[in-house]
Amino acid sequence: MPEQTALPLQGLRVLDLTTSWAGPWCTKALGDLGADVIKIEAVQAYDLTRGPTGREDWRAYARRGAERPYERADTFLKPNRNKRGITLNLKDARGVELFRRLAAISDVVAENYAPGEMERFGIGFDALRALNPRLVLLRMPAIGASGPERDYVGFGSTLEMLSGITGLTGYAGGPPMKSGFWYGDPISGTHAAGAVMMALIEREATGSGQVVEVAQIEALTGFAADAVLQQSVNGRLFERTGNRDLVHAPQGCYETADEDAWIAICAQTDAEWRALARIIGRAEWSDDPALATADNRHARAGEIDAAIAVWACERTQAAAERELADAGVTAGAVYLNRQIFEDAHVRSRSFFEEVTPPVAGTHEYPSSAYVLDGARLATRRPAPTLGEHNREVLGDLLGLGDDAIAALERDHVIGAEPLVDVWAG
Amino acid sequence: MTGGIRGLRVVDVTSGVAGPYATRILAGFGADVIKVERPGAGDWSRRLPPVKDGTQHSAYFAWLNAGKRGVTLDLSSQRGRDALHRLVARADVVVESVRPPRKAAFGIGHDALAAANPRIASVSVTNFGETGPYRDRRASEITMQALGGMMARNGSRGRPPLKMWGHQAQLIAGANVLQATMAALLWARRSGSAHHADVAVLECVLQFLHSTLMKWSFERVEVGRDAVAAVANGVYPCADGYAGVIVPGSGKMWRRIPELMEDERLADDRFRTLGGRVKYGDEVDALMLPWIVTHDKEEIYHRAQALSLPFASVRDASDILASRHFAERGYFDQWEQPGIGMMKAPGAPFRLDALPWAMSPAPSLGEHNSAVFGGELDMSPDEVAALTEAGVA
Repeated sequence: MPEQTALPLQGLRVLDLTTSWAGPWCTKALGDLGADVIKIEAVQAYDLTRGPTGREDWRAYARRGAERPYERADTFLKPNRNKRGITLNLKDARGVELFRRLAAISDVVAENYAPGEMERFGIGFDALRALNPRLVLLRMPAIGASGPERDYVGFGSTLEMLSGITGLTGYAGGPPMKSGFWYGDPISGTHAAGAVMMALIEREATGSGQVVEVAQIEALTGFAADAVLQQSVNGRLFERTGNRDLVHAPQGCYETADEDAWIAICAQTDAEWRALARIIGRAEWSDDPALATADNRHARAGEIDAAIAVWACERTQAAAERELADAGVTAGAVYLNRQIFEDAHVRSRSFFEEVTPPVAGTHEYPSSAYVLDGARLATRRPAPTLGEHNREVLGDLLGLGDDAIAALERDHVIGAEPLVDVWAG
Repeated sequence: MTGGIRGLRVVDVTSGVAGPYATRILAGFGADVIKVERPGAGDWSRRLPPVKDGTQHSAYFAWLNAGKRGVTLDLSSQRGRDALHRLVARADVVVESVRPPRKAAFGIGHDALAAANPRIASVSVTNFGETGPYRDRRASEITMQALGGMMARNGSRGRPPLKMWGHQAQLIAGANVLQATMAALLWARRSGSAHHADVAVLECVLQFLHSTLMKWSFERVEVGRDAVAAVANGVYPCADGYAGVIVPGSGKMWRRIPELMEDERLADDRFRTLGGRVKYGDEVDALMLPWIVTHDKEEIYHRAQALSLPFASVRDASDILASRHFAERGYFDQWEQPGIGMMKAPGAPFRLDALPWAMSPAPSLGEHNSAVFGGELDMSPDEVAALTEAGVA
């Protein structure tokens, strides 16, 4: 694929106070689209995805190398690409003043502090709006900026539990199971980038910015809307069904001859069912009127699953996938990381790219989720090192001279080395 | 002078879950979304569970398509394509999910849309994208969760990899469709020319799993099932269901646990760090369980949160509908949906303080044919009737 030459958000500036995943995921998307995203950390407190701030926990991270481990964390490097990075101590009046000057010449301010924290810094949204009425102000409280639970703490996994998704994920008859990844964060981050652009489009029409609130739990609960509707419309709860579907049958996940290599199969139509019955050696089922519809097959799912499992365990994952594809049956291998990186389709669409941040060295990174005008939104700059662009931003954008910057460094209002005890050996 | 989201004209030729999820959000914020379906059958999601008992009406379809106007057009006919292109000519955005092999024949490829409207923002959402060897491959929710790497990380070791509830892969893509639509629209507005986004469900899911992909890239580590199961970091059975008992890291949070669970033995120095709790996991669990199993999930949630501990209630739909927090925030939408009755359902995924959100019913099949073809395309009632008679609408 070719590289992008122009980008949709070129010329727009985003001040990014967010940390962890949900917020940085949003501002990464805006940076990918061409905005000048300025990520703000502090030498007193850097983004926690750079790694722990205590000596004890760093021992577990030793394999990343002894020098500047906070510049090597994959958890930080991926969600912070296409951003510039500065440090500002917002507990110092000079830090706040510099933030206000940047806000005056920006289009978006993004934050995911606990409700009330921005006001404590003296940069509450009312104050920022007075400073720059065209600002779009994004806040991302976990449970919402209002309501009785507004001060509650939420993480990706706990939000998933509150959303109803965990309660319905699990094997039939077994306990609920949370996902093996931080599910809530990227969902709210992805919505938030769309919401910010919506506010930018509104600004074209009205001339004014506005406050965008992404309560992470509200974005996530929509992903269980089908479950909520079953209760509100029919007065019943759905139950956990494992890998079975409410409509299609059979559907399941079956182990192949390779160790812990599985394949997911779904007969989406009656024609797919007939083809599946034939290839698993049960041709008599394909003509059996008692199995002609998905409803019939749901009733005998155990028996059908057993027959598919016997068939699957006698072939490799690749052979099973090929046979099913040739027969026109919907199926997909349960991919491990290695398989994803090696997949011909994924590679053909340039989904991965090599990126070389200054300390961490070269690795392959997943690129943007979508393609614009035939091109991937590439990494134009890797994630910033701590305070990497202090001089560039404070000097070029705000006109601070060398002496002023040196004074700020001396007082740790800005800096490029963490003050926290990260690596005392 | 450009318009905002209110009154934004969106032609929606998507079916299923991903595309309709994105355009539902635009409709909720006031865009004029015209949903184009096949005459006769309509969108297959009109049959998706939950279906209102005793009817053929899908409440999920109604949720995904609330607030849109509905027309029917047979895009395999020239007259159908002509009508579509006339709608496109006066639109800002087209979102479509036509399978790639049919795109050209349906006149829905980006070139055809840009010919109809040189400033159009068009967004495609398909399972595998518009290029590459899997372009035409069949897929369903479970196979997207499998190929996208979700299933390998969910479930228990010794049991099959596990699909997450519902339509998560398609919904993840839907959130990206919204983002890509706004990006293409902003770009079209700023450049004065047509722009196109190609959204593949597979890649949207892979994006979400960037953390485990990065683990492989950096450390060649596979993150398998049960990877996250650890002491005081998961789902525990409680008095009336399940609760999430989560104490992250080795920070100060654990110090509040003895107070919450009313057992000083939990203050043992050996349990202070994450490593210690994993090492003495059985002991920790044995001390925590008596308190957990004698308390209700909502009580565990609220009492832990009062100590700023990030615990959760593993909620079901009735808990969600009963949430005082959601009620106070006005989160739920309610509307009377013909054929179903009162719908009470999750509302806006985010809020804009100067752009109100409101929901109205989803359209029946072809409900707005006369209004749209007559009102927007200036067809006479006879012309609309002729289209219907010919099976084009």
